[in-house]
Amino acid sequence: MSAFVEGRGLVKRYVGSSGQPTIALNGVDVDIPEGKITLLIGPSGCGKTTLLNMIAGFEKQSAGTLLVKGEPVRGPDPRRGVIFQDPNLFPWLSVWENVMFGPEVRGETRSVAEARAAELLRMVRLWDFRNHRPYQLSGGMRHRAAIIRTLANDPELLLADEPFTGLDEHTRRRLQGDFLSLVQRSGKTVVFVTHNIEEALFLADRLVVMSPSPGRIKEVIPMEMPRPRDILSDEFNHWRARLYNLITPDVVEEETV
Amino acid sequence: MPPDGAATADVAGARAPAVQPAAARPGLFRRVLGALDPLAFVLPLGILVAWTGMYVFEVMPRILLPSPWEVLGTIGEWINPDWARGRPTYFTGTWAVDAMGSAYRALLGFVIGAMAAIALGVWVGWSRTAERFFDPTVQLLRPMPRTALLPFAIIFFGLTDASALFLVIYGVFLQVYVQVVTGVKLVGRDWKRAAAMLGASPRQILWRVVLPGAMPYIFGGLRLGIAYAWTLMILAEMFAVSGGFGYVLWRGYEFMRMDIVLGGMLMLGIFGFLSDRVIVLIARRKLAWAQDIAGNRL
Repeated sequence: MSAFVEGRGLVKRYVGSSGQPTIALNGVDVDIPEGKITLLIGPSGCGKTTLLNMIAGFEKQSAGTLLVKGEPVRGPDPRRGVIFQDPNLFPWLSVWENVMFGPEVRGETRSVAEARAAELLRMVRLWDFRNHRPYQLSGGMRHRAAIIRTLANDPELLLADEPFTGLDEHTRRRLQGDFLSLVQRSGKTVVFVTHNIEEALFLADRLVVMSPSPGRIKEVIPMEMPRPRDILSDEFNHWRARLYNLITPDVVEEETV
Repeated sequence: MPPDGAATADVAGARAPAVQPAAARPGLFRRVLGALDPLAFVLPLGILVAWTGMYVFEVMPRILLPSPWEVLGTIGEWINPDWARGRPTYFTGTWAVDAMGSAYRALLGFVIGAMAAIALGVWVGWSRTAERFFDPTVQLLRPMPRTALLPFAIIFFGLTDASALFLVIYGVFLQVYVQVVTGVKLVGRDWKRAAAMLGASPRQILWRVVLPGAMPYIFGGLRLGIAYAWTLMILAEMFAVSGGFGYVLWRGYEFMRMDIVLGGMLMLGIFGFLSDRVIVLIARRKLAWAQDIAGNRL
């Protein structure tokens, strides 16, 4: 059986302002299995966000093929939901209107969509804040609202681009837990980009380790650690060391370039 | 909040007013009084004192610079002929007609010009083809002073309201257009991406994301536009229309009645100020979100 997302020989070149081309991805083959959480991890410049944006349909590859469920990607699609690094809520709409945005533009039956939106709002403790505008909320609340705005569309594939970066440690852990319980309930296929080792180990069913200049895949590691995962356990620490040793040389290399 | 069990009732109430009940609003008079900032009155009072001083010490001949109370009296005669104390002139008692005429020309022209500017500006900001077709022409017309179109307008539309309206529409359009195009172009790519991945069509992105996202600039353009509306309306009234604040002001100048000129100026200032305030009040409501982000108030 073929993978949910299948990339073959993916290349992405940018032409910078100096006219000099940068190679963000250099011939990447990638498979994203259905119903699993795949983590793309690597230091900055390894092309993980570029790869995610290509799957989302925001950017087109310079060469190679990219199939989602056997079909080539031709632009953004509500079946492929994205959670951005910045919550990116529409600030002129209330939280409720943000969450209902997707179902409304897709013309979904109102009562069904409203019931789902209400359930999601309760799950992430935002029901009482549904009539607030995004910038009346804290940063962590905005991130939760952004996650359920994407989930309210019930996408088959969830693409997350470092959604918890910039949050404090405590909020981040709590949101990771929220995210995991939301995703595991629905058994969605997830591609999650991060540069945070602990986050990757906490969430992943499968790790795709990438390295920079030019961006390529270094190693694909299945993660069979049982859940719930204890970030202080010996097993977790063992994984942490392994991943650290895999990624750190690339970080140094990039900084000396 | 009802307990979690009452899910359906809760959903129905999802669009209910804010969770925290709004504090009881005080009466209109108290709110207006509370909104008045004493600091805002310092400078106008200073100007009034300086003006009075210049009159008292005859810095200029009194025929050229009448006193504030003379101007006030003249405005009274303008509003009510009974207060003219038997010295009727051409302007006594015409204030209401002048005010309605001026406001009609300025505001109708503003509304038409602004609507045209928003429609075309959104189109040009959104579509590269529309930009290539329309924008060069608009940019060619823009540096030409709007006032230079007056002779052309008079020859085309005669000495009528149409001349004034044409001039106002044209001037407001150019002013608002630039801001709308800028606003539409500067709507963040990430908002558009978010809308696209949620399933919005390009048309829905335009209406639901780009237009609201451009609103801060659009309101900026409307404020520039309303000032232009009054400016061009006055110019048209001086030469092309027999009535309105501009007409009265210019006749006053021709008869060397500086009290009438100053009275006309004062009226224009008040009307222009009030129309701008209306836009600001609407902007405060419509741009609540942008004020959240800025942590500031318009």
